[in-house]
Amino acid sequence: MAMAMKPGKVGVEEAIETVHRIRITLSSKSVKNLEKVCADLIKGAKDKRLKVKGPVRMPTKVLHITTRKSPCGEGTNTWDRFELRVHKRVIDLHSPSEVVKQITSITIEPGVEVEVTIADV
Amino acid sequence: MGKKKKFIEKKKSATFALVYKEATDDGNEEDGAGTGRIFTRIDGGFSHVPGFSEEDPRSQLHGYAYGEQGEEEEEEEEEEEEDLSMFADAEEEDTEETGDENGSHKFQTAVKRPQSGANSSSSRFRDRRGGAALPDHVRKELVDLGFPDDGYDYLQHMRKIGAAGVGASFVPTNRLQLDRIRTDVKVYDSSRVAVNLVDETTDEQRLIEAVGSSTRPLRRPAFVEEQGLDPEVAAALANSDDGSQFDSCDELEDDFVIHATENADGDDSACQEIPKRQDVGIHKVGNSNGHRESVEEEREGEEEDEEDVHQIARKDTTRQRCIRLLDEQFESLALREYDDDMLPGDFDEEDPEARGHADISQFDDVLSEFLADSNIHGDKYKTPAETTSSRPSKSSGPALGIRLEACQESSHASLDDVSDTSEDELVIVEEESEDERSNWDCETVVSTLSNLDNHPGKILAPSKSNSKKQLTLGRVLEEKESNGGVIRLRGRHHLPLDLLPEKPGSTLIGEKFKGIGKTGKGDKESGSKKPVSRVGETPEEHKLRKAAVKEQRRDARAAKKALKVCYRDESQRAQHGAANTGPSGIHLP
Repeated sequence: MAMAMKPGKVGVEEAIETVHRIRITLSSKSVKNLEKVCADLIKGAKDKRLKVKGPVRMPTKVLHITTRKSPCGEGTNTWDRFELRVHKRVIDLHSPSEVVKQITSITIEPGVEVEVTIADV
Repeated sequence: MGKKKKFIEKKKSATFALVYKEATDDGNEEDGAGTGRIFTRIDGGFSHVPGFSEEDPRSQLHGYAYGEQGEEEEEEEEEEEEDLSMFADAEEEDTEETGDENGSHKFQTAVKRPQSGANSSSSRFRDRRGGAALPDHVRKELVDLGFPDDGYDYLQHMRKIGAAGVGASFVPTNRLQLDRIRTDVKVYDSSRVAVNLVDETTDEQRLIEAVGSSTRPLRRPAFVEEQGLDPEVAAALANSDDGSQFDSCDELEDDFVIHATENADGDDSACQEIPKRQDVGIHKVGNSNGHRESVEEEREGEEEDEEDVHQIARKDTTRQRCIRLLDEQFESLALREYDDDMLPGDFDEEDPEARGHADISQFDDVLSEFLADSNIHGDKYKTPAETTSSRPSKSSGPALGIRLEACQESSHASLDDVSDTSEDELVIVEEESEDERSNWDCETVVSTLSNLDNHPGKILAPSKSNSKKQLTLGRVLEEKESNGGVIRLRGRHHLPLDLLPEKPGSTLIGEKFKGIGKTGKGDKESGSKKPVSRVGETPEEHKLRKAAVKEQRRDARAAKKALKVCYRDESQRAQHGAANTGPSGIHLP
């Protein structure tokens, strides 16, 4: 764990400077928004000179729903196949947590869910 | 080989989710570009994460859950807590007097707390803290409202009526207590009267009407000397309220009917207020009662009406009270309305042409004389018989011929008023020749037939039918020819049994029907020998026997069902086929 420690003051400054391992998980139903948010986040992190890894694309989870088309039971047995796709991206950072907060609060598209996991806290 | 070192160890990490926060009334500025997004902790830990925990609303709830903090930070936290907490507009338990941060002291419904396991502990903390701190006046209020004094603040679930414009306003009712009013006072309900400003221009009459129409007299209990109740009855009713007096008197003491009937004769003399006209009327009716038949028939109906009215007026037996002004007015109205002409009794004196009385049966001939009088009618209404009777000299030949002639004569005489035909002259009768009359051409005939019965249509060449479901064309044609062009449907399901294969098993249909049927029946009759219960069989043998019987029955049922299904399918297919083929005369059940 990289800790930038300044001599003397521990309390408040320590909070700002300590660099944590941070994992940002982004999930969404739409790929376009998700990719946009990812790109923005990585760009923001790189602007702040942080060590970034990602985005790692997790396998898409697909929820299949297969239903009869007919509201009654009559007729040829035709079936509808619906699916819901959830895409997931993971971005790893090494940064103090305040910075991450700033980055994530700037750009968010609707429909994208953001989760931030901070290690060693 | 050991595990690769993970980037983040779950147990030592804190996870936050970016959520949308509800807009609050504090006016606090939210970060997140003004759309109200904050990070809330979702892994349930309590460790402090710099930068994230500050705005976490969960952390605001329990300022004492952080073991690592110094005291300064705690104070800081609490200050921030007041500003940033999303429960800031909720009712504070210990700061009721000063809790007017939002300017209005309102009770809120129970605040929703985020669902997580850790929060139960936090709420426990809170309740414990809150329970000890319920101020006295709150407790007093709770007790007044009826809630138990158990340290829980029920007021957080209560809402003030009418506050913030929501809810109903309380209006006490005004119920009049009628029994407190003196009995000689009449009560009217004028609550519906619209009160308007009165100028000089307002019509007085209108005002009075308006007031009168919306004012209703209130009903009062009948313990009153109105409506003709005798004072004794009223007193008895009033006293019977107690209920105690009822036991003493076993019989009813209400014999007003008897009293009323006894007074029937006395009432006539008692009620002298009847106006003179009616008196006269009554007299007249009394006089003409005996001479009813003398009056001409047209007057009789009226007289009866008159009588009825007077009967009503004179009802002594059933009326219990004296005739009031209103009754007299009603009767005079009835007389006025229903008797515009002279009173029946007056006829005898005033009618100059009346020549006394006579029976109506004496006037039977009047009508016939009237009709026969040629001075009045001429020969308009002559029947053939009369025509011939008036011309006796012409009567020769068969009666039929005469009648015929007379008929024609009279008809022509009535039609041709212009021509100078008198009864004595001979009338030339024209007759249509029979040939002319009964010659119909086919156009006329055809046009008289209705389209409902005959369906005119074009003759077309027979079209090719597009039915896909034909067994084999060759076979169908064969059958058609052999049966004279008709495919016979036989059996209960009306299937073209001729088209079924004769050899068993040669087609699918044949297999289905014949195979199943035969095997099904075969099993029952010949195949199985039903086990018979013997005397002295062991329970195991009994069980076996029963099981065997059950098996047989099950098989039989299955076979029957299969046969049924087969039949049904076939009949459905036949129906489909019939629907597609041409003539709609084939009816399939």
